[in-house]
Parts: sequence; C-alpha cells; structure tokens
Amino acid sequence: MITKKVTEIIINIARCKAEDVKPEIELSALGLTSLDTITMLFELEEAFDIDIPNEVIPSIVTVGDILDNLKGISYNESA
Amino acid sequence: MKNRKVVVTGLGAISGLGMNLDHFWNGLKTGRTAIKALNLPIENIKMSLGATVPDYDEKENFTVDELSILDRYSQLAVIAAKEAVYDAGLSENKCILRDAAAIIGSGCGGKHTDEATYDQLYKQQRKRAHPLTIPKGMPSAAASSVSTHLGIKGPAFVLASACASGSHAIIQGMMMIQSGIVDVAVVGASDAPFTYGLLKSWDALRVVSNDTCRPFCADRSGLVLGEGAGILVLESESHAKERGARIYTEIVGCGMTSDAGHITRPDVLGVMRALEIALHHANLSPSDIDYINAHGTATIINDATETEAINRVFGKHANKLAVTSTKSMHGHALGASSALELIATTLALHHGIIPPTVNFTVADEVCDLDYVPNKARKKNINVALSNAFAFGGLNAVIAMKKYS
Repeated sequence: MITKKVTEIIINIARCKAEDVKPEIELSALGLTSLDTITMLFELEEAFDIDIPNEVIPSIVTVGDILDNLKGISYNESA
Repeated sequence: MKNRKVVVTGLGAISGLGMNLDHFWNGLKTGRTAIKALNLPIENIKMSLGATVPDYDEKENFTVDELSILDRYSQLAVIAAKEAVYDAGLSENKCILRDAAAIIGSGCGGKHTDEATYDQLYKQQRKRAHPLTIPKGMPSAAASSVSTHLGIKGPAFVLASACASGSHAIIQGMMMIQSGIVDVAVVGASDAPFTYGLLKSWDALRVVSNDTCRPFCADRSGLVLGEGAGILVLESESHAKERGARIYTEIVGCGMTSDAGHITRPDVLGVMRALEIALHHANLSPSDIDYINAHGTATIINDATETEAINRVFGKHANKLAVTSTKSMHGHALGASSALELIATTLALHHGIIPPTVNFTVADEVCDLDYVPNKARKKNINVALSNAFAFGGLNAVIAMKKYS
C-alpha cells in the first residue's frame, strides 16, 4: 500500500510511467530536479502525516531509499 | 550611446475587457465597461463589483507543470508579454529576446499564492506550506516568469510603486534603452487582486464603489478594482528601424515625483511637479499636449486634485485638452492600470481615436475639463500624457508622441 502511494506521488511529479519507478532507480534518473524532490517530500509528508527531517534528505537518492525511510509507519489509504 | 530615441513596437493586454489587445482596444473605442457584478464565492465582502478577466481558464493557457509555479498575476504577465512580443514581430527572434530587459511592475504581487497558503495554515490548521509557495508568490515572480517563458536573459526585475508601478517600470525600460544598456525592453505591469484578504482590505479603505466607476462626476462614489496585465515592447528607434519594425509611438519624456506627505491623500503640488517635469523632460510646452489619459480613479479626492493640477499646469490650454479615465472601462487594476493606460494612450495616438470616460453623468463642479463623456472621439492627436498618482504619493507621468 505504501509502495503504491509512493509510486503515485513520484509519477505525478516526474511525469513518468509506473514501470519506471523501481526501488533501485535514482530519483534524478526519473528527471526529478532538486525543487521536484522537495515537492515530493512535501507530498510524502502530507500523504503519510509524517515529518521528514532535513538530515535525512541527503540519504534519499533512490526510490528504495524513500521506501526504507517509510518502513514501520502506519498508513490508511482512505485517510 | 546616450539619449537614444525610444519607440513602442509591440503591445499586449489582458484585462476585464478581454483576453487580448483587440478586445482591449475594441472595448475602449466603443465605450464598453468591463465592470460587472463579482459574484465571488466569498462571504462577508462589501465589494460587489469588479473588472475580472472574462472567461479566463488558466488550463487553456498553461500546462499543469507551468501552473504549479505561476501565480495568477504571473500568468497574466506572461500572456500579455507573449502577445506584445508577437505584436512586435519578435516571437521567433531568440537573439534579440535573449539580450532584452524584462521590467514588470506590480502593486500587490503573488497574493493568490500567499493567501491560499495562509488560509491553509491559519484557518485549516494545516501543518505545512507547499514548497513552491515562496517561488510562486514572491513579488519578483512575474519578472522571472516573463523572462523564462520568452527566453529573456537581460536585466529582469519587478518594481513596486502601488498604482504607478506600470509607469515606473516603463520609465525604467525607457531609461535603459536611452542609456544604451539594452536595445529592447519588455515592460509593463500585472496585478490580480481578487483575493479574500485584499478585497477585505480594500473594503476597509472605504474608497470602493458599489455603484460603478464614474470618474470626474458629481455623483462619483469611488474606484472599482480590476485585474490584468499590460505589456509594451520598447525599442531604440535605430534598432526598430533597422529590423523594419512597425512603430506605434515615441516615448519622449517622463516626470517622477513623490509627495513626501500623506500616505493616501494626493498632494496637488506633487502632481503638478510630475506634470511639469514630464513636459520639461520631453522639451514640450503645455500647448503641445492634445490628450491626457488621467489617473482618474473616481475617488472624491483624486479627481478633484488631478483636475486642479491640470488646470494649474496648463492654464488656458487646459480647456483644449481631452482628459479621459479609461479606468471607467477596465477598472482599477492597481499597478497594471498605468501600463494598460499607456497602451490606451499609444493606441489613441496611433489610431486618432480618444477613448472616452464612460458611466459619465454630470461633471462635478470642481471637475471642469473636457472628459470626453461616454463616447470615443475621432481626432488626430500628436502628443499625449499618461498620468499615474499612487498611494504613498508616488507620481509618474509619461509623455508620448505619435510616430511619423
């Protein structure tokens, strides 16, 4: 469920296809600029009602890095 | 390189009168007012009238990605700038555009973005602001947007002087061309003031009419807000001639003063000095002037002060002037008004048609000039002034000649 939502957010910002959003792919390879990345972090915070600290941002390089950071959070799709 | 002649070669307008320059000019010359019931989905607003851009659909003009970073006021600036550049025959000339300046005025900047964010934070108690709030809403956003959409890589910035912002931006472009800094300047102003906070704030000033905008009339009851953008392409005469451009008019001078007085009440001496300096700068005498596009807000104090200043500066010639307020048609689009009004002045000179002051009933006894009531006048005119007298006592007058 989390993966689906993350993929949806990335697709909306990067205007890419769902099949391109793989764990190992780097966000920059999907065409995300630094401003796009900040927008993506905002959308993730909004969607999952979390705060992503600035210190974490340098470690978020790939799609998988996002998923790793979201491990353990509770997410209700209908919320 | 100094004191080069500056000419107008392109015009673009989006306003309450319509989406483009043709709509704007057809509205002015037929005396059509864009002022209408607002019918905004906003409660507790006293203001009931406005001149909003009709049938405007942002998605017809920009992609979703573009809109993510364009406040409404930037959208209007880009649309008018594209039209002006097309009108000047420069749309495909990337080299000329690259070296041009983009000087845009604005009275209120990206208020739609700011207010939407404040609403989310203060009212909806949302935890975070959208990360594009700053770049989308910052006061300089329109210059960045015009620069980006047109490929302009010369000097670019937004300047603010309330309702004179457009005139000051145009003067800045004129001076850049005169001094040789650039050959081409895309100049004007944009404002989109129909937001909850701004409407409430204008309500509070008690200068807004819920009747209509009747400049210089005995029964005038205040201004009516409008929105829009007016953009002009200015060019050195030699540059325009070299590329065979159509030249509308020549900007021949300007007068800028500040009242250093009351924050809202205009000072007749400050207004007079701006008129006198413009005449002197343009090497004109009062009797040379045929037409004045007035600031003409339809507030009690502005129209009386402006009329007194014109009478005192022009003496007996004041009775021979045509003085009109096109705000009666496109509304008071704040900073954008003075740019739209210089476009009206340009077209009046170019076509020999003086746009009227509409909604006109009976002249106030202290307003004793020829305001060309309700119907445009065909008249070959050669020299005109465009007045802008802003809150804060910031005055700007631009002198313009028919090009021959």
